[in-house]
Amino acid sequence: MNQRKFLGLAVYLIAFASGAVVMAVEILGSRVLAPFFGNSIFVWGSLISVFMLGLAAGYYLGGLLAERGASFAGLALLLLAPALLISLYPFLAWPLCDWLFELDLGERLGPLTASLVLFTLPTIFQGAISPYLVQLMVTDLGRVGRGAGNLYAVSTLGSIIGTLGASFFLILWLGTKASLLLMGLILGLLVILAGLCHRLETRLGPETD
Amino acid sequence: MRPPSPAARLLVGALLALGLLLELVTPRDGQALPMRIIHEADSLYHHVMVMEGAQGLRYLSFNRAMGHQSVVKPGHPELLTFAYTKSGFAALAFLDRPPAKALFVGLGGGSMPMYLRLVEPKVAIDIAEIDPEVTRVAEKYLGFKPDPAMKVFTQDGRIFLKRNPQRYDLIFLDAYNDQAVPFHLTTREFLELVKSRLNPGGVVASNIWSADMNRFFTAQIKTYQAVFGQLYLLRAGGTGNYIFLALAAPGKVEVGAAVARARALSKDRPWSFDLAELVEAEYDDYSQRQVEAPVLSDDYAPVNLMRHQKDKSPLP
Repeated sequence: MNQRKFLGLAVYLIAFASGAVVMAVEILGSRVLAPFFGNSIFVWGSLISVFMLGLAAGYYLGGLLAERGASFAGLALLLLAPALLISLYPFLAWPLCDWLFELDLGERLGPLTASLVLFTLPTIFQGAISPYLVQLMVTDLGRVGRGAGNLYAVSTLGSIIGTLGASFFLILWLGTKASLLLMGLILGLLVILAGLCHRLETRLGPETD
Repeated sequence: MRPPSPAARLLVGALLALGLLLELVTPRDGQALPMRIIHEADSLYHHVMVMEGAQGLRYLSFNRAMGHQSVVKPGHPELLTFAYTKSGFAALAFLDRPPAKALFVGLGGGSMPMYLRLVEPKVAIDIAEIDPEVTRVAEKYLGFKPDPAMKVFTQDGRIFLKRNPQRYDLIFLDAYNDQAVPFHLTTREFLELVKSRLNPGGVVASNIWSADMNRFFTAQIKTYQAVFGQLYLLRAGGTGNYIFLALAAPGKVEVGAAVARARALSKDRPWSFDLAELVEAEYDDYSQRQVEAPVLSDDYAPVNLMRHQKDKSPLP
C-alpha cells in the first residue's frame, strides 16, 4: 500500500475508534453511577452535559494545540492520557462514587459532581483529538472544510457504533468493568498506531507533492 | 387513470374516520368497556395515566403500551385486584411475629401499603417512591392516604436504603414494571443492602414479572439464592407475576407452619381473601433448587437484555 495513503487511513481509523470510545464510556458511565445515584433523568442529564462540556473544552484546546503544529507523536500523547485514565476506572470509579455518595449533595448535584469528577478529564483529551486530526490530515488549506467534514462524519459514525455496541452487547458480554478496560485497551492500541505512523512519517520525510 | 370523484374521496375519508373512531373506542386487553382517562401527565420518570373503568375501579399506567401498574377502588383498601398483591402478603405468614415496621420500595397506586395498614393497624410503614408525581396521583385519584406512621420518601429505593440505617420486619420490592427493570435494584450488592436492613427473621417480598421464562428471571433466582438463606417462589394466581419471599438465615419455613401462621394472622382482621389457602396453594421452596444462571452484580447485570433471552433450561 502507498505509505502516505496508510497515514490517511490511520487518521480515519483513529477518528472512528476514538469517537466510538467516547460514547461507549458515556453509556458505561451510567452503569457506574446507578448504584450510587440511581438511573434517573438527572443521572442521564448530568452524564450527557458533562461529556458535552469535556468535548467542548477539548475542541477548543485541541484547536489551540493544532495551531502550533500537529504530529503523530503529539497525537500518540493525546491518546495516551485517556487510555490511562479510562483503564483506571474499573479500580477508581466505584470508590470515588462511594465517597461522593457520602457527601450527599442531592439528587441533581450528586450525579452532576460525580460525572464532572469522573468523566471531564478524559473527554477533554478525546475532544482535542478532533481538531488535531484535521490539522494533521489537511495539508491543502483550500480543502480544509471537506477534510474536517469527512473526519467529523467518520468520528460520529464511530460514536453510533460505540453507543449501540456498549448498550446492546458489551453490557451483556463483558459487564461494566471489563468493558471499560476494553475501551482503555482500544485507546492503547490507537497510541501504538499513532506511534507507528510517527515512525513512518519521519522515514518518509516531509510531504513534497 | 381517471381521478377519483369527490364522492369517492368523501367515502374513503369517512371510512378512515370510522376506523380511527373504532380504534379509539375499542378496549385494550379485553377490558370491560369503557375506560375513561381521568388524568394523564408526563412526570420525571413516566407518562402517568389514571383510567376509570367499570365499578369505579381505577387503573394506574405508566405508558400507553404497558399493562397497568395498579388497580384500586378509592375508599376500598380491602379490595386487592391484582393476584400478585395478594400473594405479596404471604410475606406475613413467613414472619414469626406481627410486623412492627415495613418498607415498600415503589408505591404504585398504593394498594399494598393501604391494605397492610388495614390488616395490621399498628405497623409503621415507610415507602420509597422515586417519582413525586406518582405519589401525588396516588393521593389525588387512587385513595392513597399517608398517615403519621405511613410516610412516603421521594427517593430511589437503593439510595433510600443506603442513607437510612433503619431496620424492617418486612421489605416489599415492587419497583419494576413489565417493560424496564432498573438494573441497580436487581444485583447482589443491592440485595446485600436490603438484607442488612432486615430485623432478625425479617422477610423480603419481591414482585417479579416473568410471563415467559427468560434468563433474567432465572438469574434473579440465582442472585437471591446467593444472598439469602431461604427463598420461596409464589406464582401469583397462575399469572406471570412471581413473588420472591426471602429470609436472611438458612433454614426452612414449613408449609404447614406458614399456613397456620396465615390462619392466625387473618383471624378477627378484615382480610378480604383467604391467606392460608393462598399460601397452601402457592408455596414453593426454592432455597436449594439448582438453576443455571449467572449471579447479577453491579458489574454484570444486563437485565433488560436478558429479559429478551429465552431460558433454555426450564425451571425445576
